[in-house]
Amino acid sequence: MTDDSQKSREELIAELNRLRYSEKSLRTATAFLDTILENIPDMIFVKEADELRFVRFNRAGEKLLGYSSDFMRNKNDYDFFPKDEADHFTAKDREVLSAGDVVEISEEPIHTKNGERLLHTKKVPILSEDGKPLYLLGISEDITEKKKTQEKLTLLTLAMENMLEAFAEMDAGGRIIHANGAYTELFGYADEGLKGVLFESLVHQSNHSLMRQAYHDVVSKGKVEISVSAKRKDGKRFDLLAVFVRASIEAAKAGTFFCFAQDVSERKYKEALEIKTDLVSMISHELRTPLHTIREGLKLIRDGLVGETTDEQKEVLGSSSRSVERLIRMVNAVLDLQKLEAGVVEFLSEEVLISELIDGIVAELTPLAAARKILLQREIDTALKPVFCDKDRISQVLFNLIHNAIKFSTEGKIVISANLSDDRSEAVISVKDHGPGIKEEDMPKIFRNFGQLEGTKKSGLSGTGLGLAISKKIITQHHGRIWVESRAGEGSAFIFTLPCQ
Amino acid sequence: MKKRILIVEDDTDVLKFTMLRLSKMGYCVESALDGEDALKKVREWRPDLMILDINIPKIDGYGVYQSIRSKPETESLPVIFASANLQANLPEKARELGIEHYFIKPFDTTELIEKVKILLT
Repeated sequence: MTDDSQKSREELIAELNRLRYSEKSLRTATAFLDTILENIPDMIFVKEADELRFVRFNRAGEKLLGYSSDFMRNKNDYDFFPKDEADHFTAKDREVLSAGDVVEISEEPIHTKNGERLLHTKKVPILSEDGKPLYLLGISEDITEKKKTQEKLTLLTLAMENMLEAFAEMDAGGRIIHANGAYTELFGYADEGLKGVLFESLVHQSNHSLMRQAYHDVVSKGKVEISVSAKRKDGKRFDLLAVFVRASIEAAKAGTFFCFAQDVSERKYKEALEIKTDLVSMISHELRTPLHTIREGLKLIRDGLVGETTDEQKEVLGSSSRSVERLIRMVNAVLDLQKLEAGVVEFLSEEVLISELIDGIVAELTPLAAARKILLQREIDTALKPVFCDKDRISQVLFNLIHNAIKFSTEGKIVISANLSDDRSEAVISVKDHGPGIKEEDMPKIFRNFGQLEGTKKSGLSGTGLGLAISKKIITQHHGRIWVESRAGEGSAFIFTLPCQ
Repeated sequence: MKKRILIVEDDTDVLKFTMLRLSKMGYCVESALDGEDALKKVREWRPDLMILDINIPKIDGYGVYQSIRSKPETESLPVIFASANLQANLPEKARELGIEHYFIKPFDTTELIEKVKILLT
């Protein structure tokens, strides 16, 4: 053997080793690629470019379509899929191969052995060095579940957007990320929305520290409820109940939170009203018994049943008695008004001649009027027919109005008239005095509870301050109207109507 | 002979004043603070009239009333009910039980005196 041949032999061996090494590397690389291909969660398939028959099909593909890789090999789309679907796939494949470019199909329905699925597919042409198509590589993600979830989410968002409950999402600092229709409506921002607005700016300053505490607490507690005073865009205040819910399933993690909001002003008002009603009722009942006992005690002394009294003592007793009587009248009026307001008073409905009621009250109050040199004059329309009403309650109104008129007059006459209205549908009863009249600014006050005007005390005939409020309730419940016509210095006329049947 | 009036009332001030007034008017007055005591005194003391509260301990006014109405010797005893009307709907209950005379507390004693005078003549 020559040196040359020796040398070329060595070269040959080296070449052979290199080749072996390359082959080994190639095998390793192929195995590596296969491992990736077979374990990737998406379907990967390769079709040859001529008849589009499958040459490669990974495990995820087997699982998705329900066919084995061996079964698929050398078959094409027409062997598994409905014809129109296979037509569609084939056309897409041809398009990709002829264009030589990647195509992405974002939603592609497919009939698999296991039913209908939705795919997101990427098709890649594999070309020879001279640009001829060799293979078509396909990568498909099964997006069926994702799509369903997405649709559900869209529907939920739609529901949330349109629900009646006010709902918003906020960041950890209370800045509104999103607010639904009811929420923006609640705060009066329906036009411009509330995105980016700090929730704090919608709430009265005095509640800010309470809210910051709530933002903090919601992270650890998951849910926090607070009652605050809120303000609308137009400046109107209302009582707000806000429920914060941590928008994270993971506990104690700061992030965004939800805010459900409710205007509870009306509920609060009703609660307050109920408390007031109960309180008034309780106090009145509790006051009445001892007041009557005091009255009886004073009476026993005045009647001389427990010994003789001096004139001076009688005078003291007289003053005490008058005060007690006034207190009893007051408590009774409060109780009466409270019952009327609560709507628990049942009214009788009987045929009543208004003129008779007027006669009765005029007779009762004539001595009081006469003592003040006041004449009570009646003007009754003879055409007036009986009306249906509660006799005692209407008498109570007449008493209040005529008593008031006497109270505010120094002398002269008070005219009590009863007429049929022009359209004959109502009885119109009026009590007109020649007293000082009512100032315009005082007019709205007089039918209110305790709407007593200045100067009442001077008349020496103090009332309860509830007579007109009670009268108004009574007339309103009779479906009538009551009002006052007056001008300062020219006397007043209190007028009420009762419907004729 | 003085007419006898039994007053059943658990408010001692009201009781004291009512007894005082009626005794000064010349009646013989006795009191009972609860329903059992009332029935005992009706039996032993034989009043001519009873003023009866409803909200009293042991046996309530209605119980006392039904008991005396069921016995021949007391069935015609005049009874005046006097009670607060907080829970018990007195006028309705009175109609139901055939109670003729009642006052809803607190009331004006003058009216009670008038009623007593009428029932004892």
